Parts: sequence; C-alpha cells; structure tokens
Amino acid sequence: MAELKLANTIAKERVADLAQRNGEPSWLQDSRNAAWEIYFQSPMPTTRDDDWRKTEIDNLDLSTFITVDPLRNKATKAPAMEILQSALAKLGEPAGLFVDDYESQTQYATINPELAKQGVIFLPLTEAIEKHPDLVKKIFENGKPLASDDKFTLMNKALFNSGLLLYVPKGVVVDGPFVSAVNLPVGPGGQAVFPRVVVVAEANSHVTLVSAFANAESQELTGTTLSNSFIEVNVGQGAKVTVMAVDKLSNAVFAVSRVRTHIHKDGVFNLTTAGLGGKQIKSDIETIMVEPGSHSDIRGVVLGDGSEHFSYNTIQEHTCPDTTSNINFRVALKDTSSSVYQGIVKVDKIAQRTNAFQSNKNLLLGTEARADSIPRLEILADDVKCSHGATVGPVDKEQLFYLNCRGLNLKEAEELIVRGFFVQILDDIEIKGAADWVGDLVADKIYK
Amino acid sequence: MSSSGFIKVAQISDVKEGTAKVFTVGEVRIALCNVEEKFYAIADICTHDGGPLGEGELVDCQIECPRHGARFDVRTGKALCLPAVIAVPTYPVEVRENEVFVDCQTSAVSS
Amino acid sequence: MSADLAPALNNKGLPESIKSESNKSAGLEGIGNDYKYGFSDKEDYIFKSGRGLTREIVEKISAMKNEPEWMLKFRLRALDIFNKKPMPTWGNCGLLNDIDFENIFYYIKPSQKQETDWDEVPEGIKNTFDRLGIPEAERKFLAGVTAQYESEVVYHSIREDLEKQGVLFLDMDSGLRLHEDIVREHFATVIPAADNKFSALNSAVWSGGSFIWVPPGVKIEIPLQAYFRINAENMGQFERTLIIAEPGSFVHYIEGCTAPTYSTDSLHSAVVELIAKPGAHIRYTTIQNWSKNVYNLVTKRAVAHEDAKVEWVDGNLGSKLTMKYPAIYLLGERAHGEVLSIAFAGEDQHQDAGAKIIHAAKNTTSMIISKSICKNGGRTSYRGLIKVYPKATGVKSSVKCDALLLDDKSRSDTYPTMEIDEKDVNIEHEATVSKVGEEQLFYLMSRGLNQDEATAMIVNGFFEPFTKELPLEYAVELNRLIQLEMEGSVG
Repeated sequence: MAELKLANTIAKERVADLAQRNGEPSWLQDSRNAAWEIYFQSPMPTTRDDDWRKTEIDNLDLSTFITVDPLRNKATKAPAMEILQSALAKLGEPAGLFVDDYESQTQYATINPELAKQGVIFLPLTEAIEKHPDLVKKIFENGKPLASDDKFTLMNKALFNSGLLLYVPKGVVVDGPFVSAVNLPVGPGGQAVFPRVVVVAEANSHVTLVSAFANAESQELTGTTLSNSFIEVNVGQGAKVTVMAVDKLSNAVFAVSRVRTHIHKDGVFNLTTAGLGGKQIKSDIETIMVEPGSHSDIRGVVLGDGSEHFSYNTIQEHTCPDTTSNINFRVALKDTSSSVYQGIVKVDKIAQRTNAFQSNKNLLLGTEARADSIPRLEILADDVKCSHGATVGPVDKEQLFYLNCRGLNLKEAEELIVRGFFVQILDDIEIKGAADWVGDLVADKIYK
Repeated sequence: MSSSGFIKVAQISDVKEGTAKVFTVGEVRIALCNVEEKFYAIADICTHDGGPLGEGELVDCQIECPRHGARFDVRTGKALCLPAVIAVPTYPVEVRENEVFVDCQTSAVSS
Repeated sequence: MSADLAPALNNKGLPESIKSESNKSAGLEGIGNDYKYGFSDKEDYIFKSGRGLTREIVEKISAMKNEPEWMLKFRLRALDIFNKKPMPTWGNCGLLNDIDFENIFYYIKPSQKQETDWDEVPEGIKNTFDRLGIPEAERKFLAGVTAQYESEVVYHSIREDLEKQGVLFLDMDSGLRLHEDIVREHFATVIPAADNKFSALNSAVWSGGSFIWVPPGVKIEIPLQAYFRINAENMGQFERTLIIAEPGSFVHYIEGCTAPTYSTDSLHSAVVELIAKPGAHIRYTTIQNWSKNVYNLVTKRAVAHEDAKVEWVDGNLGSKLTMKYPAIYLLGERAHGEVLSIAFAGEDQHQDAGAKIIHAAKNTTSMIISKSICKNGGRTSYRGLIKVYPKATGVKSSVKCDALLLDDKSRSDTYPTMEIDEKDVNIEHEATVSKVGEEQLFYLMSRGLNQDEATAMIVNGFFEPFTKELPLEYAVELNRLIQLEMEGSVG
C-alpha cells in the first residue's frame, strides 16, 4: 500500500508513471525528468521570499498531496457546470469548448469544424501530444525547464496532467471566444492538479480564450486542493491574443498559477484576470515584449471576502526598443480578506522608447481587510516614459451617504460601489459579453 | 474564564530560569518564559516582522527578538523597543505541581 | 514645511570676503566628477587602532572614553550580534560583499582633547576645515557647531543664550559622560543594536556624533550644525547621534560630510536616533557628499509622539554606495512625518536611498517626496515603506518618486512597499521615470540657452522641492553645482 501511495504523491516516480501511462514520446519524458531534477534542487519558497509574502505557503505541506489521474472519460455533451452555463449565457456561441469536470470525472472538447478545417487546433493537451507530436514538440522547445523557473512552474513542467493546446495558424482570424472551464476536484484528501495550457497564435492571427477555474462549494469538511497551473502564450508577429481568466474557487483551494507570454513584432496581448474566490490565490503574470512594436495590456479585478488571500505578481519585461505596456489592477476586499499586489516593470538597456504604465488601486470594505501594494520599476534605458501609481483607501464617505439617502440596503450599496470601482477595467474588455458575465459573478459573490 | 482551556505544556524543569522555550499548543506557537521561577507565555511571533521571539534572549522580564532587536515585556506582551510598536499576545499560565499549563484559547493583547 | 527656516543661515552682516568663502559650504561641492574635497592631510594621531575588529579594540575604545560599565556591556553584546548577523541579501550585494571588514581602522583619535576655541584646534585639522569652507565667522554665527575628524569631535561650540535656556548640544561622548541618565533612558531605544548588521557594528564601536536635548517649549530658531570629515585611508567612521526634543520644542540640525579620495574604500556607518515628544518638532537635514570610495551605510530612525512632527531632509550626492532609508515611527495621534530627499548618482555610484513611515496611531499623516538623477552609468534606487497598523484610522499618506535618467548607461529602480492593515486610510503612491523632456529642452533652447544650460535649468527645477527647503546658501550652492555637473553631460 505504501508504494501505491508514493506513486500518487508529488514524487519522481509519478513523473515516470504519467509519461508511461499516457504513452508519451521520449522527448517529453526527458523534459519532465529534467524539470523534476531542477524542481527537486530548488528550495521550497517561504513567506520570507518577496514573491510569497503574506501567503500561507509555509503551511502547504506538499508531501500530503496526491496528484489526480488525468480524466479519460469523454462526455458526449458538455457537463452541467454553473460557471460554464453562466459564461455561455453571456458570451454566446463559442469557437470551441473545453471542459475538465473532476466531479463527474469526464472531459469534453469540441471545436467549430470550420475552424478545424483552417488548421486551428483546440484539444486536451494529452490528445494534442498524440495527434500532433511534431507541432507540440516544437512548441515545447520554448517551454523547456529553466534553472530560473520557480519551483511551482517546474513542478507543473514535471507533473502536468491536464490542460489544453490552442493553436491558430498564420493569418487565421477567429471571431468567437474559445472557452475552457475546469471544475476542480475536492475531497477529503489533498488533491493536486497541474493544468498546462499552451496558446500559440501564428503571424497575423487573432484569437480569444476565456478560461475559468471553479469548484463546487461543499458543506462537508474537505482537505485542501492544490491547483498549480501554467499558461504559456506565444503571440506571433502582428498577431493578437485576448485572454480572460476567471478564478471562482472555494475556500478549499490553494491555487498557484503562472501566465507567461512572449510577444513578437507588432503583436498585441490583452489579459484580464478576475480573482473571485479561493483559499489562497497566488498568480504570477509574466509578459515579455521580445520584439519592437509589441504591446501588452494586463488588467485585474479582485474581490475578496471571508479570510481569502490573493497575491498577484505582474512582471513586464521590455527587452527591445519601441514597446508599450499597461497594467491596471483593482482590488476590493471585504471582511478579513487580504491581498498583496506586486508589480515590476523592467526596461532593458536597449529598450529605448519604452512606454510603461502601472496602476493598482485597493478598496478596503472590511474593517479588518488588508492590502499591500508594491509596484516596482527597474529602468536601464534613458529614453523611456514609465510611471506607476497606487492607492489604498476606504469607500468614499460621501458616496456611501448618497447611496444611503437613496434607500439602498447594504448589499445593494456594496454592489454598486464595487461595480463602480471595477467599471473602468471591465469596460475595456474586448470580449463581447465578458464584462456582463464578470459583473454578474461579482454580484453573486456579494449577495451569496 | 473557565479552566478547561488549560493544556499541559511542559515540566517546570524543561524551561530553565532566565530562558525561553518554544512549544506548539494546538495551532499556536508559544514561547514559554521562566522569569525568576515564574512562568509566562507569549506568542512566538514578533509583531514587527514575524520573527521567532522564543529564540531571543530573555533578560529579566524582557525578551528580545533575534531578528531586529525589538523587545517585549513577557508579563504583559507590551512592545518596549522599536522596531516593534504593537504588543504580542500573552496567554494565561498555571503551574500545578511540577507541570506548566497554558490556556491558548484565551489570549490577551495589551494596548 | 516651515519655510521660515530658509533664510536663517544668511550671513547677514558678515564681511564680503567671509560671505564668499562660506558659499563653499561643506558637503555640497563637487558632486559627481568634480570632487573638490578629495585632498588628505598627513596623519598625526594620538591613537590609531590596528586594522580589523576585535573584542580588544571595543574594550580599548570604551576604556579610553572612560565609559560606564553598562555601555561597555552594550558594545560587547553588539559586537557579538554584528559577528553573528549575515550581510543583507538585498540591495547591491555585489558592492556590499566587497567590504573588507578586516582592512578597516575602527578607531582613530586625532587630538588630545576637544576644543571650544577654534585657535586651539590642531593646525592641520583647522586648515582642513577652513579648506572645507567652514570659516570661523560662520561658526560664530550658527547656534552651535560640532566638527568631527575621524572618530572624535575636535571642535565644539554652542551659543551662550541657548546654553542658558538649558539646551544641551554636545558630542555624544560628552553627552554620555555629563548626562548619563538622559542618555541611558533613550540610547538605542529607537534603533536597537540588533536592528541590522550595520547598526550592530555602530553600537559596538561608536564614537562621536551629536547629543542634543531641547528642554520643553524651547524653540531653537537657528540650525545646529555638524561637520563630519574622514581623513585616513580605510577609515571607519561610526558616529552616533541622539536628539531628544521635549514637549513643544523645536530644533533643526544640519550635517554635512566629506572625505579624501583614495583608491581603497572607507566605511561610514552612523546611527541616528530622533525622539520628538508630544508637540515637538525636529527637522534633520543631511548633505552627504562623501568621496567615491566611501561606503555610506547609515541607520536613521525617528519616533514622533502625539502632535509631534519630524522631517528628514536628505541630500545624497557623494559616496560609492549609500544605503539609507530614514524612518519615522508615528506613535502618537496626529503625529506627522515628512521625508524629502534627492539623490544624484554619477559614474561608479549607487544611491540606494528611500524612506519608511510607520503609522501606528490614529490620524497620523505623512508625505514622502523623492527625486533622483543618474548619469554616466550611475544608479539610483528608491526603496520605501508605508505601513499602517490596525486601528490607526484616519491615516493619510502620499508618496511621490520621480527619477530622471540622463543617459542609457545609467539605471533607476523604484521599490516602494505599502502594507496597509487598516481600512479607514488614504494612501497614495506615484512614481515616474523619464528622460529630460525634448519639448522642454526645445523650448528653453529656442529662448537662447545652449543644451547644457537648458538641461541644468530643467534639473534645477526637478530638484526644486528639495532645494527650497534648504538654507539659502546651501540651495544656491546646490544649483551652481548642478550647473557645473551638467556641462558636457548631454549632446
């Protein structure tokens, strides 16, 4: 029995086991093993590390987690999931749909056949590896394990057991959004999932991905679920990628994620992330402008309640001349929830004419809510315009007074205030219906 | 205050006079301090930067955080020296026979 | 900020010759490449310790100063802490780890005793301070002056009327000797030895610095001034300053510092503690202009009680590496703290400076303005903290950091941290990094200025929030120096 247990925990044996059972090619096995070796050597982060300050990483005992098996049962229609239904109701007909539902233990994936004909690929990652081995191998060359990767990214690179590939060939413009919804497992024992999502947009293509992570609220006592996801995006020359990422997790989930994006010449990357729940959410958003003319726009809305904790780290790297980036994060905190926003803008010596803007605003609704903000700049070029601003404050008293006069109850007033606080960010989302959808999720959370 | 919250933590001989020792009681880490044969329990977390107070030097009734030198009165938890400015929680202690009992459900924070 | 202080140092009524002499105020000349204070004197000392730090040296320092037993114990314990504490793992670790603690002279006593009559100061030292532009007339004009050379204060004076009001302005050693009770009550309560590796080092080997005690309600309208000079190669200067402003009092203290240029490094590691009691007001102005071989690793911290006000006005122009983050702990209701700083980093310089404000009481307010310029491969970093503890309601704080980069060899970093543990607060932070605006340059040049002049004018404007808080002659001098510095820097 002990052996079986070992095989399921976060251990080296598990790497080989995964590779074998999935019938993975040897280059992928090697890549997993290489990632494991560096993972094993790198120290476990602690709250003394800047990136993990105020998280509960010190209490996360990896030896207690069991990696879940990849879902193999194919559903014939999309499983009934609240988050998925609410998304589709607002977003309309998707270009493709991917669902991992750990509750019903089924997987579902579909794509508009017209798009498939044009060479667009939207598949569970395991299937993509089987069907398009050469393409995946080429893509993974860019995602090789690096000594500079952090421990959780390496853990994902060694142990990823779910996720998807979205590939858009040259010049293909996809209108509707691809939608991915993952219903995470919860159970008495600590379960660990390692989704890996790869998005490749070749030159002059346009594509949108909406990704939601959720899990069923349970009254029963559950162990902590660890979700460690890694999303890699490659924006080709002149391409445009728009991503909306929603985390609506229960108090049983410790979610660690990294989004790493490389943007090539004149490419555009838009990301909006919505943190709407989770025991601990630790999210790194790393955007590298590698060729001139590239542009990124990173936005976040976060609403915390109870004792939830959110850590968002944004990293903007300007590594060449003539690139621009915007960051706009708004965090609203109720009860005793807390957040740490850390953002860094790095401008290399050669990255002249960089224009970078970073803003973080925090609205404290709960008397014991806590917000830290650490916006940083590291500038090595001189012909640049970089600025950042951050504020922390309570609800404007006049605003409250006004709303009170209108006879609104507390929840109604809260909803108006939070929606008003988020509106600037939500209004900028280019995905049709997405602002409404997130607005509704925000309201749900306030009224729950 | 009911006495039901008291949990046996140590033998009096476990913590020598003029020293502190760290114990975990439930989910609370406490530094048990022996000041002239009287026992005091404080949280093992410096209010300045989360430093391990119990590893610090105990002089009379003052304990010094080894990380940045903040000092606290172990009897009241009060911060006596920067860089700490707020008090550390203290817990009721009872010595019964040769055993030290601490009630970690009843913490007090002096202002 | 009280602008009424600015003209206080005007040399009204002084002969012309002295006026022009005093324009070369210590600490301001020669920022960047044009360092005028790089000369050194022949060493002619009463006592010079061997290189390196030992228990014996600490004991010797204490014995030579005839200190009470508690201070010796404090020093020895600090030495233990220093030896145990690791070097900081943040900041410019490359430069920090180059410090050779074994190669430093920790204590040098330049003269037999401290003089209150300038004529009695040993000739060589006197000449040095004259060359630094601290003429006798200026010393007489000021409310009080102290001049530290290597480890000891060699000259000290205080105006009689202040003395009569009960103001204590002494070097720290005399302060300990003559007012042991006051010192013992306050010493190291703001910055304990264990605060960081360099405060531990200072606590072990401190010597000199200023001790100021201002009686309740006494307002010293004219600044007290201190000059610090390092002369010997590989010198370690560890002055210790303690300023206590009793309720309702006011004091403005100005310090300036210079050192010779050597090919090997010296270390300056001061500890400065300010205590502003209820309703008191302390302003502390520093013009740091060490030569480019000096490590300047200083811990400065103030506490402000109810209705008190503390201001750090901090100019960093010299040194190889400066790491200094003046802090203000706002412990009483309605206390107010301000940090106003500029940093200038030229070739081979890293100015890692900033500010920390801790709001631990209701309705406390603070403001930080930081301006930095780097050129010729220099590096400036702003590192700051705004912390609000729970229950500190009604806090207001604003932080503004601006950096100018004058060429693509230089680097500017901004690392602000805001830790907000209370809801009812208003915290604002803003930072910008940019180059000198083309439009501004174009406009000024169309008015007949050449590019250097135009750049200097823009830079002067950039530093203006700082210079306007300086005594007038310092401000004039700073502007002139910036102009010098800008010549040939662009184009």
